[in-house]
Amino acid sequence: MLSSRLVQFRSMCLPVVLCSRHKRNIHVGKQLRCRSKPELYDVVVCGGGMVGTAMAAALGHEPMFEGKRVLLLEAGPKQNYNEPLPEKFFNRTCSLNAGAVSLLRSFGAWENILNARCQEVKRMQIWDACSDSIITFNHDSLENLAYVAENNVILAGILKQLDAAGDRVHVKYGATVKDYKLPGGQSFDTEQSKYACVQLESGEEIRAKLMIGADGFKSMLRSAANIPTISWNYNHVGVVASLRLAEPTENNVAWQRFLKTGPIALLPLSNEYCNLIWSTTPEESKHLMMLPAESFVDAVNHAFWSDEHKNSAAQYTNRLFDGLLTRLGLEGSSSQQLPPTIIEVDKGSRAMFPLSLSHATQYVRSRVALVGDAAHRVHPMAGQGVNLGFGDVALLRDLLVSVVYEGKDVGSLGHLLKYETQRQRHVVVSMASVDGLYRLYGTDVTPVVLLRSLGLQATNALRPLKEKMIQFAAN
Amino acid sequence: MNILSGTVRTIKNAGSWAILRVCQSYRQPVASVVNTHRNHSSYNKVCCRHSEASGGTNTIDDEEVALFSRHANEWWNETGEFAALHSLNDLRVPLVRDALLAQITPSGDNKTLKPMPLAGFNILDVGCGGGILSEPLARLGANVTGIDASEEGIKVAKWHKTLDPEALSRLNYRCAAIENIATAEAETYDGLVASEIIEHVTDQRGFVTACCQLVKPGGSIVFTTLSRTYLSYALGIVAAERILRIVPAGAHDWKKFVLPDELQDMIRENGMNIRLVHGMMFNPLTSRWSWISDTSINYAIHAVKPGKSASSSESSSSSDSDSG
Ligand SMILES: Cc1cc2nc3c(=O)[nH]c(=O)nc-3n(C[C@H](O)[C@H](O)[C@H](O)COP(=O)(O)OP(=O)(O)OC[C@H]3O[C@@H](n4cnc5c(N)ncnc54)[C@H](O)[C@@H]3O)c2cc1C
Repeated sequence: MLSSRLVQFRSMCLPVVLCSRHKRNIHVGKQLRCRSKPELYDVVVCGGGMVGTAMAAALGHEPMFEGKRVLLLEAGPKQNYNEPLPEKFFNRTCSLNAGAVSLLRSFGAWENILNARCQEVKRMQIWDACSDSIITFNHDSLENLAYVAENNVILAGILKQLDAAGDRVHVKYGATVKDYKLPGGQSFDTEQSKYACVQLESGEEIRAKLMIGADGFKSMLRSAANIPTISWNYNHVGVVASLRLAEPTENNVAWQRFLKTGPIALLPLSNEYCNLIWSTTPEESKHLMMLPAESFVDAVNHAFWSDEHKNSAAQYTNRLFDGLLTRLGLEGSSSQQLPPTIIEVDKGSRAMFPLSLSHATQYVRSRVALVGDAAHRVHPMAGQGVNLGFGDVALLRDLLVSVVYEGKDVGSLGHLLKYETQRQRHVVVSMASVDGLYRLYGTDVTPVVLLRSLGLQATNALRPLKEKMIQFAAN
Repeated sequence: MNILSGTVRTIKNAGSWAILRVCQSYRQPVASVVNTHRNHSSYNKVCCRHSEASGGTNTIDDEEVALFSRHANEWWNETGEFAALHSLNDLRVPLVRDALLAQITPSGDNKTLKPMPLAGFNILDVGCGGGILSEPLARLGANVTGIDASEEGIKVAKWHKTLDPEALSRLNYRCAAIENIATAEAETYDGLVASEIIEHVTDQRGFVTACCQLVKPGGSIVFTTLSRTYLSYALGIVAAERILRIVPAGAHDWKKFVLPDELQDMIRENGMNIRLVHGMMFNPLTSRWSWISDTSINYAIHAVKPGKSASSSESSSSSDSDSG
């Protein structure tokens, strides 16, 4: 035991021996090359997707982080946000809730997104293919329900602020992570072993007091930290596309209908365009991808308008229930607005993505924290994906600020555990409800259909409950 | 935290000497610590003796390395023996920080957070041990001097500082007894912290006097300690040391615990004004501390030396220039 520790100790020391000898005794020009001590950052964010870039930018604009060293690593190239937006919409979009907007606003990115392109959602209508039950969410108050924005527009808005942070955040593009060396297990810390170390494909090594994993759902940092995930595949595929409406409208409603094969949603992009997110079986998705453009448009319209799946028992009970609610003085099914008719699909905008759910059982370890899809990936149905990630960023930023104001080491486990506890409390609940909703609607067995349609109606009638749901979705 | 018996300390000292010597020949960072202490004569002697004996070769004494590493680990493992001291930082760092900030903005309305709020303040951490409290205070920008009568504590502290040299460049440690520096360094410090130390001191009155002597007019002293009540006996000694083993056994002598009133009297006798007396409670299940009004177990006292703080304008201007 003792001797193995020593071996560890010695081997940890060795590279530095070479260095110091090199410095002291060997004249410049001699062949002995030494790797200089890897640079030490306070925070290294791995992964420059929407969530990682927001993390870096949020810290870069944080007064308490002045003088701290922050680095963002991204495998891909830098997106050029100065080019004018193409007229065509990008096919990947997100609906941003109030919490996400307030994070983005806190470091100035929200203004950029508003000025570029995004659409307000004032109403959300969810209904069921098997019955007439419907739930609507209106937001009459100042707080709008959500905004829909293209992923690229969101990322560009954040990137602009990252650049505005100047020297306070270093960024390396084309920097693919090859390996991590994480602390732990040593009985004796050294300057080398105390911190988390990342090795890039280029061979460069960088140390961090806190390494933040924002490297997406296949997170390499998560595996290096030996953090297990619980995951399952829905055996479902998401089909996305940009769609043009038959006629321009005041397009501020998000539409979602639960079909037998899964939910289909239209998110407003402009007065003329919607983004489609259609979650369905792998077979149907392949079929949808291969359909000629006109038939694809027909399929979408059919999915929103068709009555063929209506379950008569459910409809009958629904009507009875509606009557009951009215007698109780509660408002039953609110008037159903009709979804818009689609006329055209943008060429080349159709794409498909496999859908899965996964959740890291831990979000932190000593000197490691996971944010965004690296920590949790949900079904895109509830539009929670990136919102949960932005929620992670907001909380972690706030905790790190207080940690710095207490003079603590930013990577020590104590406060990271607070982040984990608070976030998991929120994320697990919302994942469970998204997944539960998904499962509830993934069937047409009569009792279940009845239950959910009554559930939908009751929720619609019970204002307080609905407000709770909106509040929850907004945080 | 002068809590180990003399013999144990000697052995541990020997261990630390050796590791420093080893480190000197192997590693740059620790070697630099050694250099800063050239003037410590007894230290040099030991070093010389060692290198003569080993004839300049790098023989490592396994046991000595292990001893130092165990001792360092004891201090700095946040979930180890000193876990309660680590988490006590949650209370005492903000307490010291806000006490010092109140010296420049007494109303406390200066709520704008600054990254180095304590830039320009000189702080003496009395009984710094392995540096658990000195490090965060230095990270807040203060010039911190940590002193401890126990040499192995100081050695651990110096070694640990090298792990984060940039952030801790304003931190210095010395092995010294407070009585011996009180006159030479009288009225040098803007703040003095004596956290979890007075309960180990024999001449407590003399200790408090020395503390008060060291701060400038307008400067603060902050004590945290254990009260001498039956409750503290039950919780502090029986439960903490013997049952839960939160604190090393034999670490405390209950008879030396000071009641809040006694400590306040000693402080007032030195012409200081008491600003705050507050109870603290440790929850062993969560390993977290919280403030409570009850002072019968652990408590903190903040007192201020009357007179205009000579440093206040100085420190505010220097912190301004730091952030600018
Ligand atoms: C079909 C579909 C629809 C969706 N719809 C919505 C929606 O409506 N609303 C919503 O909120 N969310 C939605 N989501 C989810 C949302 O897109 C994700 O939650 C979000 O993109 C996650 O962002 P992230 O930054 O955590 O991860 P990612 O976007 O996956 O970013 C990870 C980054 O890390 C980089 N990286 C990975 N490995 C390495 C490495 N080894 N070295 C260096 N860099 C590395 C990658 O290059 C990438 O840039 C949807 C997802 C899908 C699939």
